[in-house]
Amino acid sequence: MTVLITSVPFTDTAEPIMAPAQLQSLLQSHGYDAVGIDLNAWVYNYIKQHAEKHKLQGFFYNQTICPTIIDELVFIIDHCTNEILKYQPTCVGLSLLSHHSQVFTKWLAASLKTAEPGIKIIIGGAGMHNHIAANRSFFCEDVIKLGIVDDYISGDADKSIIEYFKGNTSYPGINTVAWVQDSDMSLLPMPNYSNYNMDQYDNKCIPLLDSRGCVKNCEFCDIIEYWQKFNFRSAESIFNEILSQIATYNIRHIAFRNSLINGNLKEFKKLIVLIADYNRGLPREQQISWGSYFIVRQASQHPPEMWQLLKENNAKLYLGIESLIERVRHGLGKTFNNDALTYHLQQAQHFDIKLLLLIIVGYPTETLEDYEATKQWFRDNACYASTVYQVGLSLAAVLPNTNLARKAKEYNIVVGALPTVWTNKNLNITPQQRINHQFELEQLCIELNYNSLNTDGASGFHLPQGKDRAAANKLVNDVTVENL
Amino acid sequence: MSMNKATQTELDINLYFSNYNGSMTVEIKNNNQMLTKFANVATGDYNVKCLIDMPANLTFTISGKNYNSDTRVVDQEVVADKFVQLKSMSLGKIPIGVLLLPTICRFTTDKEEDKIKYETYWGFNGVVNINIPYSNFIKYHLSMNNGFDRDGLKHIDKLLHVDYDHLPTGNGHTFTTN
Repeated sequence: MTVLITSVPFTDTAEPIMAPAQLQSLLQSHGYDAVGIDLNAWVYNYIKQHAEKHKLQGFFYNQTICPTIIDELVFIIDHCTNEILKYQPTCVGLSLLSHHSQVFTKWLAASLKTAEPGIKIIIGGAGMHNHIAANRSFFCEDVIKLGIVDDYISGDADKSIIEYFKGNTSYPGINTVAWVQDSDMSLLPMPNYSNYNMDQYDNKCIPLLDSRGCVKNCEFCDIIEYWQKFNFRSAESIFNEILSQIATYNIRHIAFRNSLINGNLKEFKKLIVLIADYNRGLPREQQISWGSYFIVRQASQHPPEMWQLLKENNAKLYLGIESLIERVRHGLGKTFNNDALTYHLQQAQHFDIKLLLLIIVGYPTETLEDYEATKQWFRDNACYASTVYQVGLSLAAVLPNTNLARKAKEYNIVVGALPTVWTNKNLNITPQQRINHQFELEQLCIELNYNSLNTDGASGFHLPQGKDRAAANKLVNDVTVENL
Repeated sequence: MSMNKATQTELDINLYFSNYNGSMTVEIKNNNQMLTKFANVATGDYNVKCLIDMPANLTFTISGKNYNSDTRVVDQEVVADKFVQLKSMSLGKIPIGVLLLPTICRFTTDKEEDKIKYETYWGFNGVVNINIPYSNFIKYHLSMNNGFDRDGLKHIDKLLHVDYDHLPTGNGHTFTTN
């Protein structure tokens, strides 16, 4: 049996998607003939300069079919089908990183089933569900009913995919949404990118899984519902993987795949010492660099010596600030104060460490006065604009099965048809107002030089811009407050 | 294992035969090659699943309707009818949307008026033609702006499960649906 695992477009990233490489090595370590490929990369590159890029993205995101792109879509589907079939797999695993992979999964699976009716198709990944913490997957039910997909695997597939190929289809997560977080990350073999063409990525990097879950308990977050325990790897294990991947691929930038790299501070400090020791004395082009999500802590936990090491690590940090209003931030579950935030900005500026700030626009407990204070914060802190290479603004969403959703009554929130469409009846700020606030904040950040023109995207995942943003705006507009 | 050069594609159709004085006869061909034939069948659903050559020209030749006796009208209302209905159709496992389905069924009847109709309710003798002018089924679906939408079929199901040959006696208006 040959198993082929591939990413399914569309994820707007110029970086490799890790899951197929991870599953390839996992299956191989259990004696299966396995191949992992990244079809998303091919599609991303194919459409990135395409004259009809936005229409093609409209197909991937919403299945909007414009007559002028039909031949291109046929070509893309055929190409992806042929890329898979050239490995002559008996089983194809389609890995859906986000729900934006759902549209193409259907077309690709139908194409594969027609080209090779006997082929088995399984799907997995968080993108099978519209929301990561969903307790039912209409998508999975639908594709199985259509006969284009045979089975699905929920959650981490570390154990379940092996059990699946052993024939134990009653293992938790196989054809069920519920799964058990029971794997030991230290036992995972390192991803095998041998079937990836590493030259095709604009952001050359090696993805590396260092932890799953989070140590915080933010009320809006669905990650903690999906991974209810925080699992991490030892510094030595991570560092050994870095060295091994450098030796194999000669790529020295590591893209950590996690929710935060400093969840276990002890292991994190060990890791940055190991990397700094490695880098010292080497010319910059031979040094390790990395980018990762990172939580802000009180200053005493991140002393200047740590920032010096981060500089020597060539680190780039993505900070989940969420709200610039301390009261709101504490309330949602992030306990650092404004002094700690300022300290992180100062240290990053001093050591020339680039930051991405992730901000939620219009959190349910934010007032109009808070919004004005948020704008003022950006003005007051414009001196850090060169350190903050990007501000990621996202609309506040009440995601299903999160603590925030469970607290909706307490907050007097009425939730609409989409997670971003809700109203706090105590505050009466409409979804349209929040969209306007987001546009205003974007504009303000640009005026204050926070957003660089560098589009490499902190984590490789670009924020919707231009027509994509307009489409998002329209989507929210279509579901008016009157529908609440 | 072959590459994706297949010009044969799975066709999956569901027909509902409603009998009144017996059933319609339906011959199904693709590109003049016989796929299957239904004659003297009982009321109910019938599924046809087969591989067809593409491009495809599907024809459904419908006969057996006696216009004088096979439709019962009470107070200007049709209360029983002999007909066949195309309830669903998938090509390459992709269902044709319920609103799209009638638009692809070109029904040439043997009637003087209403000779050409586009519908899935076939209550006349004649020939229904479904033309699929592409060798690639994906291109066909995309060209039709069709994508995995099956919604609405349940509604049709509810309306059509009627066995006119076994209606409760006496009152033509009191038949039941399931």
